[in-house]
Amino acid sequence: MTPSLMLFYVLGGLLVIASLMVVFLSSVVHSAMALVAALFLIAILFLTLHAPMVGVLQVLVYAGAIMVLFLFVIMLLNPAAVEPRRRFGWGFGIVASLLLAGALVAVMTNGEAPLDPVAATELFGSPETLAKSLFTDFVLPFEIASVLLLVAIIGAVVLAKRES
Amino acid sequence: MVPLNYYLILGAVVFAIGVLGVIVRRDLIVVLMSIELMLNAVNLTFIAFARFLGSMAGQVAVFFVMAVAAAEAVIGLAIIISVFRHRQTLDPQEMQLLKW
Amino acid sequence: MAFFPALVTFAVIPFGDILVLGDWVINLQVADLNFGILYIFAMASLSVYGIVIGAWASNNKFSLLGGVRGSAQMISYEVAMGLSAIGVLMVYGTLDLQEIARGQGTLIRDLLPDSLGFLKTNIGQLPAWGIFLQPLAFLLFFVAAVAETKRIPFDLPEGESELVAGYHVEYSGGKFLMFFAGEFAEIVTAAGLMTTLFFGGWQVPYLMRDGFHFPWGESWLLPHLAVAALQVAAFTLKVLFFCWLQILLRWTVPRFRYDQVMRLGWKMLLPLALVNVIVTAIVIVAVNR
Repeated sequence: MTPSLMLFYVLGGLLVIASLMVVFLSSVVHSAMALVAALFLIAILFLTLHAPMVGVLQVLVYAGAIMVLFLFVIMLLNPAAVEPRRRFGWGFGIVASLLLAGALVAVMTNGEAPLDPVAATELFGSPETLAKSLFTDFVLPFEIASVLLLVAIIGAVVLAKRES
Repeated sequence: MVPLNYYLILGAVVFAIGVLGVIVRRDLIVVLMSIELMLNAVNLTFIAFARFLGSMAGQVAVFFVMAVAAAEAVIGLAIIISVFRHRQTLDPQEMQLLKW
Repeated sequence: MAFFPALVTFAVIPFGDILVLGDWVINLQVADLNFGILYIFAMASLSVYGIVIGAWASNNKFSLLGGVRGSAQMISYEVAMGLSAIGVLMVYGTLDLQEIARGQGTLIRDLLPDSLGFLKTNIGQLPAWGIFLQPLAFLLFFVAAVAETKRIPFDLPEGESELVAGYHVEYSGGKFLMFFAGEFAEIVTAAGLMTTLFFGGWQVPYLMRDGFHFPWGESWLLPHLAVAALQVAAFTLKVLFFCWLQILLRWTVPRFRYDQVMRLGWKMLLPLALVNVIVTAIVIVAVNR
């Protein structure tokens, strides 16, 4: 049992527990904090997979900004005022997601992807390499993504305004 | 070294848990959070493949998934706010009919 | 959780160049990350959670209001802080803080092309510190960092005379200490970051690894330990100066109103930071031709 394998088991186990907490906890705020923990654990997994830039971006954007936005909205729409959930459809849901997990695992482990990683250079996943790919091969999706974000900002402001 | 399949299985499990959240929970905000969980499981799979195939395209894809997820979370939350103002509830069961 | 990011951020700030003890080369920085600055911004975004959760958990309307205001202020100024730091990153070409500190050791005249010969003889003698190359970015970063740490004049979330004590009204004893110690730790972290990005970090002007080399020809050679000690002392003095400056600001300036805070962040700092990035880009391209 190598240290990296043990680390993976710890991180993976915590990640599964955190995602179960997101789904099963009854308080919305607790679910949100569990999601923050799950995002942070995924960022650490990214770091072990030689993707430091994306991992830091995950913390910065996802855990740092998007989840704060979630918490704002949760606090604005006071959760005590929302109806409590009823236990409806849990059996069906659990069976469906177990089947889905089984199918996905069967499909994905059936392939011929290399089981051992290609030797990683020092620069793999570093900011320079990511930026170079972004600005040369993928510059069109990059520009489209910026337009998309602009549209999202405008749309959110329009949707959430109070009608006056 | 951790074999690729372990990462794929982890991604699949987290994705299935997210699907469970979307199907079962009756609070729109938790549904949106489960969608984010699914997106992150997919990101994990992308990065694992990027590492094992030695290609940066996987990490660029994750970059874009994150941007799109940010945009979608923002719009989703704005919709939730305006729906809440009209119907005073966040229960998706109450919103099954488009017009009444 | 309000305390941990402030401490953890300090891990990437370099407080000296290498220290050579016999065969052992120590890099005087706790963690040499390739993307040091991004790590700092990531930790800064995590510190918002301490405020938000602390405010909500108090089950008190005033505390919630203070917390929501505080976190909105923090996320607004994070953007301005990041954008103003981009100008500095473009000039030094790296995200690694130790490299930025090292890059400020060169003289300005080595960065200019020969066509600007007349500049080389007067201001070219100065070391390439961030404050000389990016003065506007320094001002923006200073304001944004003070707003980020919620010090006066931006401390409306704590509102000592307005909102009772704002978001931490219900806490006392050990938990209150976490918030407050976190705030003071953030002062030191912000000071450390400002010295590293704009004031040369541990650089003493004209001090190279083997001694002083003045641009007008003289040089004084010094043993290696003296150089390292001088560099660490210079870093400490600069950080202390910035802490003093922030504390001075606290006793001098009255508090901003909340809408003034938001207007300052979004309508003044953000466009200025963007203009700074564009102008820096134009200057870099023009100088390199």
